[in-house]
Amino acid sequence: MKPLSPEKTVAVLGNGETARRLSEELLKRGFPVMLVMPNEKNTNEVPEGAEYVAGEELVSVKGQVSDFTLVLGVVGKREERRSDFIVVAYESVREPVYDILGEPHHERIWPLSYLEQLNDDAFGEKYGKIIFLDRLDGVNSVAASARFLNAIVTAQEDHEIACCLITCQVKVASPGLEMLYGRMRDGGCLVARTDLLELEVDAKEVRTRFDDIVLDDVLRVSGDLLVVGERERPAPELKKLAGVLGLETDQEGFLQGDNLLRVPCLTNRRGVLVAGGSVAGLSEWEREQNIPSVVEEVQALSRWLDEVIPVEQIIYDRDRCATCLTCFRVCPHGAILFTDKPHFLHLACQRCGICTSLCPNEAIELSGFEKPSFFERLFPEKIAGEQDKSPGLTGFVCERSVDLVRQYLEENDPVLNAVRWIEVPCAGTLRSQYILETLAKREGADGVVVVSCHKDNCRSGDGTIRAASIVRQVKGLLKTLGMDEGSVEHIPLAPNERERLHREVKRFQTKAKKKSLTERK
Amino acid sequence: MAKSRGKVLIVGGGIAGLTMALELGRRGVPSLVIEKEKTIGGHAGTYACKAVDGHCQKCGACLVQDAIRDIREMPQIEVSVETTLAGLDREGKEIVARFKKGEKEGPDRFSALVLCHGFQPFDPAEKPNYEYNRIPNLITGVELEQMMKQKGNVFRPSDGKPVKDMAFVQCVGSRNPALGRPYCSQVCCGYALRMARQIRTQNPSTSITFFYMDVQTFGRDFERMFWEFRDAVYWIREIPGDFFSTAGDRVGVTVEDEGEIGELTFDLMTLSVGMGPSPDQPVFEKWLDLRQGPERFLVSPKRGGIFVAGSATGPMSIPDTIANSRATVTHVMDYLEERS
Repeated sequence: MKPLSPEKTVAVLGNGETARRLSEELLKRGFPVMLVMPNEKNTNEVPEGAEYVAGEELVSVKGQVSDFTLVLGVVGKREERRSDFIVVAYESVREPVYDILGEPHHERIWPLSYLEQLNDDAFGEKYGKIIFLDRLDGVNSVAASARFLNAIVTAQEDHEIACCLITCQVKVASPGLEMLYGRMRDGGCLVARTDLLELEVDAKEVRTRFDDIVLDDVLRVSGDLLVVGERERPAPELKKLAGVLGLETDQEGFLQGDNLLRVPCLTNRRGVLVAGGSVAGLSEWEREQNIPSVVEEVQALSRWLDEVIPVEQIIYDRDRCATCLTCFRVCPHGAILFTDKPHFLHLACQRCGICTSLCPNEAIELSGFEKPSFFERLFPEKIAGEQDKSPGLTGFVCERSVDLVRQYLEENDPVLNAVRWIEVPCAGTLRSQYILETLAKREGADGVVVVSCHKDNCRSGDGTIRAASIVRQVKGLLKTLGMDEGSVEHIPLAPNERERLHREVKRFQTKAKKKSLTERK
Repeated sequence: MAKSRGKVLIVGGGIAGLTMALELGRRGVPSLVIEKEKTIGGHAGTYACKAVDGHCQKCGACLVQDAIRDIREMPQIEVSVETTLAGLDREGKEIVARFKKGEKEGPDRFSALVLCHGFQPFDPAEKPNYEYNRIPNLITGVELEQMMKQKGNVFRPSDGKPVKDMAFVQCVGSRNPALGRPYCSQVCCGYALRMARQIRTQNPSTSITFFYMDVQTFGRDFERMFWEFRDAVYWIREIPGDFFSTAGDRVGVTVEDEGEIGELTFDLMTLSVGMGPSPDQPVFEKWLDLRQGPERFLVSPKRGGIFVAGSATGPMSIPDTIANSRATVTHVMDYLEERS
């Protein structure tokens, strides 16, 4: 294993302000920065001290946190660089919402960012009345509203322009916005809410006609200029970067997936972070939190790397391996490299065990959860009131919720105490065979419950989906065999659902008891 | 008392304070978290998981439990519950704190102080027209959270019976300059809609009405959730003024429709209360000469080793609190670095 370098390098991939500011903040705290930016960017923007790699795209990335190898290149030229961490810090792109107008280009129709960048003191003399048009499709964001409120207040107060804002809604859920909204209305801005608009533009003016939802009346407003809002979309580069880096994306294509546990700057890969407009279309307040939280995570991970003793997380049996690539394909954390055989990157592994559960040849096992010892993880070792443990239940519970079980056992709770519990690192570690074996052979397993996290609330993303699919498989098998498919159940649970765990287990127990009574009759 | 050179004092064991302690802990910085209540977790620690059909709705309440678990595994974090500050002094670069109650009697010395004392939910009794203390089936959003967490469903407090129809009144103690609250509390639409969706999923026949001004959707995934759920709710764009109890303990409100005054009644009504500054804030302002922002919450001074993080600086959701607290850790670390 390569000795860990004391100075850890951060590769910042970006195209603008976030990448530049983040690089500065990292440099200030002693991290060498390699800034990978597209060609067209002005090199003046590169902070002093950063290594600047211009105009290159990321072709592939190998390795893991503390030792990433980035292959950068344009046609005909490739070069390899290494870094300890990678931060994707592309800005989102702004797309004017012309499509709702049906009148895309006209000198009297401006995108909001054009107005924001305008530096013209005589602006107010040219335009006396401006209509601001925010999105009408109901999908509005705090970030967009904040930009409108700021632009309107500036137009009103600095240029004495009469303003009208046509919108589906004004979002004020961010510090200072409600007050800014009040200031805008006090300044005489007409705020109209509608979802449909008729528009005419000619050389002289812009005329609108719409049904105001709140006033329930048809309004006509004309102005000298129409300023339209913009959608915050992921930068086009993100799609490729997500592929190269193996990152989850959300529905729009931003890089954090729809997973709560990635807050504020994490991704599914350790040491790969996201910043600014690569996270989402962030509001100003969110941006202010974002850069220092990326710095914080880099510093914390650095320290972790200094102290961590790399241990084998995955035990690999070459003789059994069919080199089918399944493990490589399913790993949610980019922790498996494949050459002629899989290589397990132990610093990247987050111990979800999904690869082990899906390996068709059982060639890999999660350390500490090898097959023979798997069932020895039963607790409590002795079940209280052994005689009335029929019907016996076995529960598989993931590490994140195991505390709740432990608390109940400590309290000697009769319901939870009557279940044999097996702690698994993640419900995704389970194989259907474990459940079947538990049902078939193990003493006192009339039923099995699998406790996992909720969907989009699993550190490994897919653990919950895997658990649900395993339970479905087992149910199918039981059905085929003419057995009761109700004897296995999946309980998605959050770690704060202590009371619900009790209710669900009790319900399952009552059901199993009823069944075993009927069978006895 | 143990030597505490380099130790950071964190006031408040809610999600902001716990995140602060954990992140400092990850950096090898020891801390003491003091919490005035009997347990850590703060307000968010009492909130319900709002998952629907095994699908997370991203409210963040579970993250508090994760933090509590992680705190226990970090030896450099000391937690003292039922403890409050009795006084603060500065001696050179050190902060000397005196404590009240608990085993901590102090004084003890710290390298930095982070105030994570959180917020206070709006008390509807402050506005007499809600008749909050007189109407048995009129509860706050915080009470609904706790009911959902404990019982997993909604029941009428007056008789424990299931709820056939219920209503949410939004913006209670928010967006109201007359009440000294000229801000959107940012969380009420989120928690009310998420719980409404959960209640509807569990009891498909329960009808749900929202009295609202504007729906302030925000945060990860919320927009989509809102559009999926929107049509399952009756929306009335009005905040009712008069609240009363009818026979059978139904909660009534008067609403105006096209100039006519009508009455609507419900089995249960929830006031979606907003967030206000903590009652502990004035004493910190006095002791530490801190400044209020325009929304009356504290502004983090980021100097002299005094920091403020989380909802003590303004209304924010659980995920935003985590982001804010982690961002503040960077400033705390910079200070500690400079100081040494």
